[in-house]
Amino acid sequence: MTTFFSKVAALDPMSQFVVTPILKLEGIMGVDMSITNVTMFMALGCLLIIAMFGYVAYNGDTNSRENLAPSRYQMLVESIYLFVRNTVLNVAGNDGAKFVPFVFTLFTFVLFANVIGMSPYAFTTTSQLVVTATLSVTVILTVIIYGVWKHQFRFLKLFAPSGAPAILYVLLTPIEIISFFARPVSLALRLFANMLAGHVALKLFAGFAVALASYGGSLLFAQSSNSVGDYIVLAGQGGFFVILSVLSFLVAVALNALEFLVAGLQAFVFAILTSAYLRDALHPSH
Amino acid sequence: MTDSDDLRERIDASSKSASQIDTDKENSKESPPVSLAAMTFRYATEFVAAVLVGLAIGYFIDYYFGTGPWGLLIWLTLGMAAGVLSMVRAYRELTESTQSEKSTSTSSDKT
Repeated sequence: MTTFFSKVAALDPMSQFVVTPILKLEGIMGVDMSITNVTMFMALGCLLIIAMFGYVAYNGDTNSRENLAPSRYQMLVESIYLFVRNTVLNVAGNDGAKFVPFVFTLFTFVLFANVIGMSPYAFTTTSQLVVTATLSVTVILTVIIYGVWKHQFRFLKLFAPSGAPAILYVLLTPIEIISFFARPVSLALRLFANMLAGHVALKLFAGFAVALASYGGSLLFAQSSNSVGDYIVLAGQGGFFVILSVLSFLVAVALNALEFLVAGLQAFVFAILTSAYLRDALHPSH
Repeated sequence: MTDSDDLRERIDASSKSASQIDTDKENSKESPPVSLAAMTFRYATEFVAAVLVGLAIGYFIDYYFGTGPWGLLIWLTLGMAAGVLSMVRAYRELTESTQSEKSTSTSSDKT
């Protein structure tokens, strides 16, 4: 009979994050270009986004009579777009309108990656630090390039907030520089840690449910019992583990609902913080 | 033509009632729209990221200029200060955004 701890040790909550190459490709200049499961699920997300929004863009544009009133599906898609647009305009101001497509792309990409990751057997691409770091580096490069292009040297005002005594700038400027470069780090770290922690917790509780049930069951239906007393003790222990297994299953169900909330919320947080950073590129002086 | 005018009227009426519902919901809502866990997590990452960036800058200054442990010490301290600063900023941003959302939703109704 296997012990309980060997069953628990058999669950590995981190194995779901292993990147495995599906199609090995020759590297270009030393960079491995293999198609991995991460690439595949990112491509799947992009294709779903293109299909979902492209359908409306293709059909909703015609001026035929039946399209005067939008369908429910078109309403859904347009409300997602308007939601992102309102967020950007509220946070970055009215001249942030030129960044709406950029933020919308980031929002839908993160949202689809998170939601696809919630379906069984799917890979959560946003649980890889490389993916989230790439997104946040794109954001910060946009801020720097646009800020320098639009404001030239006035962009550096970001690092020297006005209204402080001259001697304090020796201390304030390094702090502002650190807090500027901490933004992409925290942006990437937050999304990555949220998705990683959520999926590990989900896997652990689901795994506990299975391990406890199988161990409790093996005690409950144990054949070799010497006396009635032994059997009652074994059955009592087995029943205890089965009850624990049911509780752990209920926690897994609750965590599943929470993870769907987190998937949407983190995409929204990513979009709102991106627009907050873009506001600094548009108006460098605080 | 009359058909589309009728439709326009109906759309206006329904959007007016929809915005009415929105403001009702906004006024009744006391708590901020973001959950407490998400807020706490935001402060935590804000602080950790600033410390990490300070650490990295100090480490590379020491590595390239050979300035002993001083670069690391100074920039790590500055990183912690920046971490507290960004936490305060995140808090201010959060409270301001909830207030401004309320004010914009009511002002857009008047126009």
